[in-house]
Amino acid sequence: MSRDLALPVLERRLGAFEEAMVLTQEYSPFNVVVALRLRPAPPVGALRQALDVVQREQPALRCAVAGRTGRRRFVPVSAPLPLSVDEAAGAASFLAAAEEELARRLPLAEGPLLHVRLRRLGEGEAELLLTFPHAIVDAASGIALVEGLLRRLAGEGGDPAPAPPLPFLPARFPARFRGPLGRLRALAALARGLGSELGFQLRTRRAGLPGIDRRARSRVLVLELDEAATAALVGATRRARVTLNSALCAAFLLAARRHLRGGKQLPARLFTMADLRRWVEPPLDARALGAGWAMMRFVVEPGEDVWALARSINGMVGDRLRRGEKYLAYQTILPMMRVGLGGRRFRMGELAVSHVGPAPIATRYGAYEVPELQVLVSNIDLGPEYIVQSRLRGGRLAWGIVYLDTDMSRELAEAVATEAAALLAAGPPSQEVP
Amino acid sequence: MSATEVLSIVETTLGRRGIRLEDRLIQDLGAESMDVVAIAAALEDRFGVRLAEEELPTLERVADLVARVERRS
Repeated sequence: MSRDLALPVLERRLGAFEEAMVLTQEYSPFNVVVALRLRPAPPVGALRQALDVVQREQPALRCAVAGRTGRRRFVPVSAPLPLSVDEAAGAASFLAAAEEELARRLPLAEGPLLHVRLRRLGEGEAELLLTFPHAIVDAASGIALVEGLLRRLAGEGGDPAPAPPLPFLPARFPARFRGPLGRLRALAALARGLGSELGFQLRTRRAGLPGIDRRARSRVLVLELDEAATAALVGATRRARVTLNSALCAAFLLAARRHLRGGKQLPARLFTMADLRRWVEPPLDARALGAGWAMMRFVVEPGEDVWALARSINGMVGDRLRRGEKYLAYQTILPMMRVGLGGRRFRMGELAVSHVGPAPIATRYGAYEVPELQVLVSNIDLGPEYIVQSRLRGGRLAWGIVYLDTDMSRELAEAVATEAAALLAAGPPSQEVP
Repeated sequence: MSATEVLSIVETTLGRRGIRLEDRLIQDLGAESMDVVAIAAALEDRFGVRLAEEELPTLERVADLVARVERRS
């Protein structure tokens, strides 16, 4: 692919979140995998053409990562996006290769930062797997990219429309989270985080929480609620005045507590993603492929009641977001990762839940039907025990769950998901609604 | 009438005064996802309007909330 000087390029230093995500890759792959079922299977030539257009449009797909930790930069590369094709992967094997993709080592120093795999499933169907390093994708831009690719595949969209490069995020933070004062606030947040971690370690030191096992492999489980169950759950969250994300965090925490901890009353650590795209000034374009988010960590006391826990999480997360701690979480993730990866003695939490809302992927693009979409995130070896990616599509709530095979069996992982769904299905008792 | 009531719900939820119809919930008023859910729930209680989860990201300004309440389907 020739360089076109009119196209935007991504040549800047990495931000803290991007640095932290690249740092994890030195230990184990930390990928985002988008898996689509397509009918009919696209010809390889048509897919290659669509990928070439998307690559021309996206600066992040024309770069690699150079330099050492803390001083890394995105640098331009000219290689086309790698595309591999599995002929006759076999009917009913959708998602069978997703676990391989979660463990794929992407060549960050060489680029490009996306691998594409087409698997023919038979019966005129195919699976399209897009594997990104976590450093260059978030929920908004990843889905926008997939949407753009499907339009190109269907022959829509006209001439390539270059997307803007993702800027250096901290430059767009509110003034009080930038500069020397911003760094001081970030240091204070880091100190609070370390204090919270020490407190957690002290309280759980005899609890037998699982450690790090280098043989661990990410395993995939998907679960979908039907339209009636999804509508009932959305109604329940409104009555309880909580977000879907808070309700999911509460249900999965309690379910994990019952199945993985034998119901022990211990504090729990959970992670949730804070979207920064609409909160920076000016807001980020949804088409700018990149990681415009922060990872926030919480220590909570699970208790017994799922809706009480959901309200507690909702209040705790809301308070910290309103105080602007999402900006501090962004700035402190790199030292936190360094401590975690350097010590290699503790897991970062037991649960990471990310409900990203509606996925704007249609069910049809020209001749192509898209009956299924899953988004999965690698579970790195110091990561949470249970990762839930949740999204709404066609009125249904879909969960892409990833766990480590050294932590639990598939049966246990399924039991946690089934119990979480059952906990939510009951809804909040009307007399407890505030 | 509904515009005044919607403004009042938004002001109460966000704990601030002087909000205008053209204000954007997130960029101008700093609303978080929790606030948007609380506003949606309050509108449902007050006006009987059912706001689908998929609709919430499209309701960018206070005026969009007013228009949605006035459509009320």
